[in-house]
Amino acid sequence: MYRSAAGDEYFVVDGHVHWWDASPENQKNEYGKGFISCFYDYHSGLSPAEYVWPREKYEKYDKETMLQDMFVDGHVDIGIFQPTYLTDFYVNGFNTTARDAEIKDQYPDRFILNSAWDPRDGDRGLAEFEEKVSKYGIKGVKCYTAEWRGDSRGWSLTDPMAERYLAKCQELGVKNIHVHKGPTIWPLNKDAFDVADIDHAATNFPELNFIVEHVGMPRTDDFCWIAVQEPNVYGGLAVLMPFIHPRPRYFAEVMAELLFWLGADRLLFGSDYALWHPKWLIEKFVDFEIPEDIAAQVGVQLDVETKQKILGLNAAKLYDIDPAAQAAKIAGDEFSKKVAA
Amino acid sequence: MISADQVWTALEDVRDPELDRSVVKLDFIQSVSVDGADARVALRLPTYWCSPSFAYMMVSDAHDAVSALHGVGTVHVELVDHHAGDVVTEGVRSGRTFTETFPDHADGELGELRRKFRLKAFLVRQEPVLRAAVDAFGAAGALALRLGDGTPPLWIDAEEWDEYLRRRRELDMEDGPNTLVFSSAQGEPLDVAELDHYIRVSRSVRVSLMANTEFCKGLLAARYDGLEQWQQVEVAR
Repeated sequence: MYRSAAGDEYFVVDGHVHWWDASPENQKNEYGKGFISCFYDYHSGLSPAEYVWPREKYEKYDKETMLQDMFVDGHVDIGIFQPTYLTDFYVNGFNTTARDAEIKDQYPDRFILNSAWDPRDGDRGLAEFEEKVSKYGIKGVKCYTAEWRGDSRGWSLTDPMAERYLAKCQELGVKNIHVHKGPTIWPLNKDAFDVADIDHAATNFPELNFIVEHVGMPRTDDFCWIAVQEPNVYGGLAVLMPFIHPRPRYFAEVMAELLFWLGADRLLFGSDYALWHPKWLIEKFVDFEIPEDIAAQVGVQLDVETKQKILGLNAAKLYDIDPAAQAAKIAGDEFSKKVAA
Repeated sequence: MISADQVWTALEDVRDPELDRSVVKLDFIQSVSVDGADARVALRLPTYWCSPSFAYMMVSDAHDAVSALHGVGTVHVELVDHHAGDVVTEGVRSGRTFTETFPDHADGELGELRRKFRLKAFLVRQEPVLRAAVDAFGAAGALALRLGDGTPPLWIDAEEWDEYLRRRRELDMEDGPNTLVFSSAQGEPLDVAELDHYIRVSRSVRVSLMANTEFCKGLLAARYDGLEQWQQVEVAR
């Protein structure tokens, strides 16, 4: 629970966290190196200087660092793991369900463990996914449509096999589908960042929630149009959040758009840890005000109630978390004690 | 014989089709060198992963722009530090189309994608002009304006006006003196009753594009030692 200087309390769900291994030993090829290098530019480019890690630490950080950053220093009450496999780039994968489960098993009240699937894994993948759901009690998945697989450069939620996976999610009660778009797809001549396939899926699977990660960036406009039409489409704010530091006015502009088109109930905070540290993101966001000229032109407000929803209450609803019960559960754990000390 | 200055000038008109900005202004041109009549250009992008489709468009457009210089010899545009750098560079150099360059990964050319972003660029460039016209003449007055009503008009910044006209031409819109100044990207007249919503939608497209552009600039800066300068910009504002 984060308490602001003004005395307002915020229950914080970090909707997007990773525990990755991108060390040179785990890199399979130049793409693995290029991938983490690109992440590092995001990290160093948008973080305040005092939060920038050395490259080596960034490539592979230990469990203790993550726990300390999130729950002791970072104000987070519960974090949601969003696995990203990238098995074509990393020997043991970048951030798999099994790897994340190592921490989740140890601190079950501090994490929600999501899984992932890829329609190109076909029937075999479908069976494996079902096993993972029962083994880990999975309630959400991360889909990365730009993932390379052999000669393939990506996939779409409208692929017939993807629809079978979505039907399986609906059947198993895995109701939160986090979708992350990337720079490649089949066919390569289409706009890979296009979010239209999510529109299609959201219509066909009304019982599922589609959380569009990074609010569809770099296509936030297209994302807004589909969210207006589909009530089961949400926006994950990871990657937009850090803009609050180097470019607060741009951050305000995009937030104003999101609040205008989607409202306060369908936006979810995420740090994308370890891309960015949740501490400064949360502190700056709680203190943030949309400049008057933008607020007036668009006609929106970012008030305390809205911030409380975005920082935790919206995600809590999607994952059936009762904030009061959850707060009580973690009140006496080792991290809460360290915070209190 | 050609000069490096001529090459730089030619490159100024080459835009990132996604961001609708000159690749020179975006600092994507890493280097230009000339040797007699031959020209070499190195083009860099904000990330190793930037979409190969847009990368191909920029390399190909840069190649065409420099090749159009009078008296130029061999033109070589190299895409550097990119996951598909060699493939794109070689594809454009040898005159292959996008589909020929990526036979396993593409099922068509890039015209449709290019047009999609030209339509967005049109809305983005139209919005400030439209807002200024509404401020000056009211909604009905703005929508009745015709291109021949005074060029350049006094109610709008000349540069914004020129950029708007250029985006109109790129979409092959009519430009006679009796043509309405404002129409949709598809060339249809706008409805006064729906103008507020139309401007709202254009604003969203603009905000998306601006934020995307700023992200790309920041990532490029982080990648090529320009971070300090980029981070100071906002402080200066």
